[in-house]
Amino acid sequence: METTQLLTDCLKGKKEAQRQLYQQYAAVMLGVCYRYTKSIEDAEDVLQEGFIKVFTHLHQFKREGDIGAWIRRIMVNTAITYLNKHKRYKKEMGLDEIQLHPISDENPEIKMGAKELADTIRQLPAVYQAIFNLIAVEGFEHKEVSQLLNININTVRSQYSRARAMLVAKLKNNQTGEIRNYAGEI
Amino acid sequence: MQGKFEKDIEQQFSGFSLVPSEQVWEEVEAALYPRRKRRLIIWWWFIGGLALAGGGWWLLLSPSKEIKNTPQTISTVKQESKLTVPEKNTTQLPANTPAIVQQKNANNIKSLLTKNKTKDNTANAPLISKKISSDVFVNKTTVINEVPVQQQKNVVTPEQKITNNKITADSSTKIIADNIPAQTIVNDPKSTNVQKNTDTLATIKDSTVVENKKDSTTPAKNNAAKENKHKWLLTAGGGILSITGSGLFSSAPTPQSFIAAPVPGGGTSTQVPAANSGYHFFAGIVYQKPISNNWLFSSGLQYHYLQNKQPVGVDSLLGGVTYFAIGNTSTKINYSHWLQLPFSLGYSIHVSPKSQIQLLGGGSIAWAFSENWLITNTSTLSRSYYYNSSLNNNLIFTLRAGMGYNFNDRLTISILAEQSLATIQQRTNTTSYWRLFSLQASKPLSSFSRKQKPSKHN
Repeated sequence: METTQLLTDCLKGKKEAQRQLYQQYAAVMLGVCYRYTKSIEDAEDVLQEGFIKVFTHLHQFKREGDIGAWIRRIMVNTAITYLNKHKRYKKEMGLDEIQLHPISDENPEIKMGAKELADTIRQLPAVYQAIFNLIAVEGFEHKEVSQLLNININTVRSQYSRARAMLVAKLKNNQTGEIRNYAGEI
Repeated sequence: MQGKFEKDIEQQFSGFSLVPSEQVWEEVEAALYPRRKRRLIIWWWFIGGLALAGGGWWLLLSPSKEIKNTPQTISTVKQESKLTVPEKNTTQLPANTPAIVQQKNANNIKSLLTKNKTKDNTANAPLISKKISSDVFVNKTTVINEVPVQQQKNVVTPEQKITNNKITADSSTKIIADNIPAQTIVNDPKSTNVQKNTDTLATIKDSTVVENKKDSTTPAKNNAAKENKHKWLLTAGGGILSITGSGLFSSAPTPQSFIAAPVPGGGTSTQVPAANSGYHFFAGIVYQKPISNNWLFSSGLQYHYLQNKQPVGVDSLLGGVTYFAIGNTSTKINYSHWLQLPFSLGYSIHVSPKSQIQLLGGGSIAWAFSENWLITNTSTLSRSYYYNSSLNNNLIFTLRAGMGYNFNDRLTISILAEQSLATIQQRTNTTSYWRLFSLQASKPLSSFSRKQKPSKHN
C-alpha cells in the first residue's frame, strides 16, 4: 500500500492500516528510543507512548515531509519527556550531579556495530546521553537542544563537549578491551 | 556542525533497528480503542441499573400497596359478593379440641356478631378487622382453600385481608380448620342482618379462627407473628480486606508474596512485594423472606468500599496507563467502589422463641463503578504494577458464607467471609482475588418506627 493511502486509512481509524504503519516503522523507532534510555523495557515504553502520539496527532502531519522523519521527531520528543518525568532518569538529568569531564577533540575510529555503539552511549549519564544523541545523531542545533531540555545554550555546548570526550574515552577503552579479548582468543 | 566522529556515528546508526515485543502494539491498540468500548459498557450498565432500580422499587412498594387498599376491598365484598355458607358446611370442632379452644372461638364470633347487629358492614369492617387483628391468628393456606373459586374472584382473599389487617400466622400456631360454627351464626334467628353478616362471616370464616398454644392476645406475640413475614433490614458492616493468590476453584494458586519477576538480561529473579491488608465497609438495605420455619432467603442492594495499600517502585505514564516498577519507593492506595447485590440462603437454629443462630451461604454480584486498583504484571520488571482501568464497570462475582445471631428479632450480628471468583488481573497470567472478612449488623426497618404505632391506633 502506498504511504499516502496508508496515512489516509490511518486517519480514517482503520486498525489494519495503523498496524501496517506501526510495523513499517516500529523497529527503526525502537532503535531511536533505545539510544535515549537505559533499558529495553523503557525503550519499549517510549515507543508505545510515541506511537500513541503518532496516531492521535496524525492529522497534524503535513504531507509535504517524510512521515518517517516526523515519527522519529515524535519519538525523540517523547523520549526526552520520559527522561524528565521519571525519577531514575530525572536524577541523572540534573547537571549538578555530573562530574565534569575534560573536553577532547579526538576523532577516534569506530570499530564496533550499531548495537555496541548504542550500548556504549547508554553508559553515559542520562543528560550526556541525551545531548550527545540529539546533536551527534539527530543533528539538532544547540539552540534546539537548549529549548528541548530547557537549559542554557552555553551549557548545551559545554555539556556536549564533555559528553563527547567521555564517549571517546569509553570507546577507546571498549575497543582496546575488544582487541585484547580478540588477541586473547587467538 | 558535525565533524568526522559525528558523521561516523550517524552513519553507524542509519540502519539501526530493534524488533519490539508484540505487547507494545497491544498496548498501543488498547490505548487507541478504549473509549468506544467503555461508552458501550456504560450504556449497558445504565440499562442494567435502571432495571435493578425498577425491580427494587417494585419490591419496595408491593407490601404497602395492599395496606392502602384495605377499606376499598372490604366495601367491594359487601356490594358484589353474595356469599353463602352452605348449611352442610357446619363443622364441629374435632372431638379432641380442648374445651377452652371451643369456648374462645365461640366467644370471639359471638362478640363480633353482636356488634354487627347494630352497625353497617362498612362501618364494621375496620372494627372486625381490629378485632381479628388483636384476637385471632389465622393460617393463610387453610383460609385460601376454603374460599370457593367464584368468591375468590370478587372477594379479597383472606390472605390479603389478613395481611391488610396486619395479621400474620405464627409458625408455632396450631390451626384448627373449620372450627367456626358457621351455620349457627348465619342462621341465627336473632340476627337482623344475616346477609350482611354473611360477608363478615365469610371473612371471619375465611380467616379461620385459631387458638394458639399461648395467649394469642399478647401484643408481643402479634409482633413476633408479624416479623415472621418478609421484612426489610438496614444493614451495615466492615472488616478486613486481603488480596490472595488462592482462588476458590483454582488448582494452582499463585501466592502474591512470591510472584517472581525476571530481571532483564539475567537469570535471577526477584519478588513483587505483596499488597498490605486493607479494610472495607458497606451499608445497604436487605430484603428477607422466610421460606419455612428454618430457611430464609435474603437479597438486597448495598454500597461497598474497599481499600488497601501496595508498595511499589518508580512510576511511569504510558498511553494513559500508569505503571510502577518493582520496589518499595512508595506506597500506592488501591480503592474500589462497588454497588453490590448480595443474596444468601440462611438456616435458622432457634435457641429461644425469638432468637436464632443463622447460618448463611450465598454470593453477590458487584458492579465496580469507580476504582483505582494496582494489579501485578510479572512480564516486565519496569512495569510490575499498573492500574487496570478496564476493571471499572466490571461485574465482580463473589461467594460468601457466615453465621449470625438474631437478638430478639431486633438486631442480627453476623460474621461473614467473602471472596471474589474472578481474578483481579485480566491481562496477565498472575492471579489474585479479593478476600473479605466482615462483621455485619442488620436491623429491621420496622423496628425504627415501632414506638409510634400505639398512637396510630388510638
